[in-house]
Amino acid sequence: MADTKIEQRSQEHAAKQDDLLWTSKLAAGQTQALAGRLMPSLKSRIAGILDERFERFFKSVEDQAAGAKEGSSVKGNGTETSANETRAQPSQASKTQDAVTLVRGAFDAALSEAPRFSPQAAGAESRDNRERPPTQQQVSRKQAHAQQLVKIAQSAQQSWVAFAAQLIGANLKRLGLEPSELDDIRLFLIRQGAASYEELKKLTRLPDSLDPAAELKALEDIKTLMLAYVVQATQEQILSDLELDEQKEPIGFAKPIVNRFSDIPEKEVDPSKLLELGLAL
Amino acid sequence: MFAVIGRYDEVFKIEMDGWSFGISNYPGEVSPSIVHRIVRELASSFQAAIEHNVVIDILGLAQKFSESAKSLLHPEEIALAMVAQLPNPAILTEEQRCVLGQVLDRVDQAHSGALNNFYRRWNLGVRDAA
Repeated sequence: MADTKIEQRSQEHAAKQDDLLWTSKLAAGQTQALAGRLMPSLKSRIAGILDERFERFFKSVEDQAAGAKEGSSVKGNGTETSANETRAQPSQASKTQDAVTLVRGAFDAALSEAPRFSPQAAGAESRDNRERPPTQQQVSRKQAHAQQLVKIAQSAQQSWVAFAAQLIGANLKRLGLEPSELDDIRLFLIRQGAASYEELKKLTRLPDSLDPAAELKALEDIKTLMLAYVVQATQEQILSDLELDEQKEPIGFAKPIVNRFSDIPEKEVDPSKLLELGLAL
Repeated sequence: MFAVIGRYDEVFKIEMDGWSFGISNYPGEVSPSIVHRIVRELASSFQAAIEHNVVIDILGLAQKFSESAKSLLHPEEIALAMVAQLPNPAILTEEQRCVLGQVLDRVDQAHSGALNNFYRRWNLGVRDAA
């Protein structure tokens, strides 16, 4: 009995060690974050983990779906099962398979169809159209097709980001990541998706909320405001400090520093005479 | 209580006031990600403040930032993000660690349990540095 408990504890300990090893591997990126080099290493690590997890996820879902299909076909050939079971399993499997097919299909569709909407392609299309003008029905069908593709691509991208964010949230919260850092990663994923669309000329430019340059510009603007405030406040503080010091003890600046011409007596000058002198010269 | 070195508390206060002034007077739209980006910019200021024995009032600062951002972010979220930017105790002297402890104590009293989360970060940081 005692042996079993010890064995169980050692197994738990080993599992914890594995977990710790995994987290500490990830934490290398976090340590760099503390040193001010947050994102690049963390991003690459996350990207690596995600790739692996995605592969595993897709494979398991496909295996499940294939297994369920085989099962249902065997059942159809004469295996005795309850009617409910036969109905439930294939429907669930087909749902997950449908989801995977939808996501993959949407990406494939976006990838294959996107160049058609590029400006160059649009130009080429319009040239073709000059030769053979399309009917109203063809145009509307094309537009509807394009809209449908954009919708599918958007939903696929959203689901991909949501899935990735869920994975990150589940695995990285243990490391004590801040909500802001999680948001950063989420934003990074969205940007990655958006950038791939941009590359495919699907988007002419990234929206400001996704554009790192726009965010940096905002930060620089706020920093400029901050510096302006600091300069003003510092001047005021220096002046008030000087006033305080004067009250305590007058500051004895050397005369030449204060005004090197203070010893020279001022002379009253008649402007008309000055003008005459100037003209004579 | 250690004496503040070189009146750095005044310098720090001006800088933080400047940031909140910048946020509140920014003509464009201030998003949460921009506020977090600003908080990340504060890491070096926090380190300098602690090195000069300044006990930073994180809660007050977070409240001020939240108000400047028109309550776009909850002060607690900003406070925790700020704590994440505090320097690693491994790189601080004994005296500076005491100052850091005072800073953290205030936050922990307001948001208990927050420290455990960050202790893990630091612990990992120390292990990696070793």
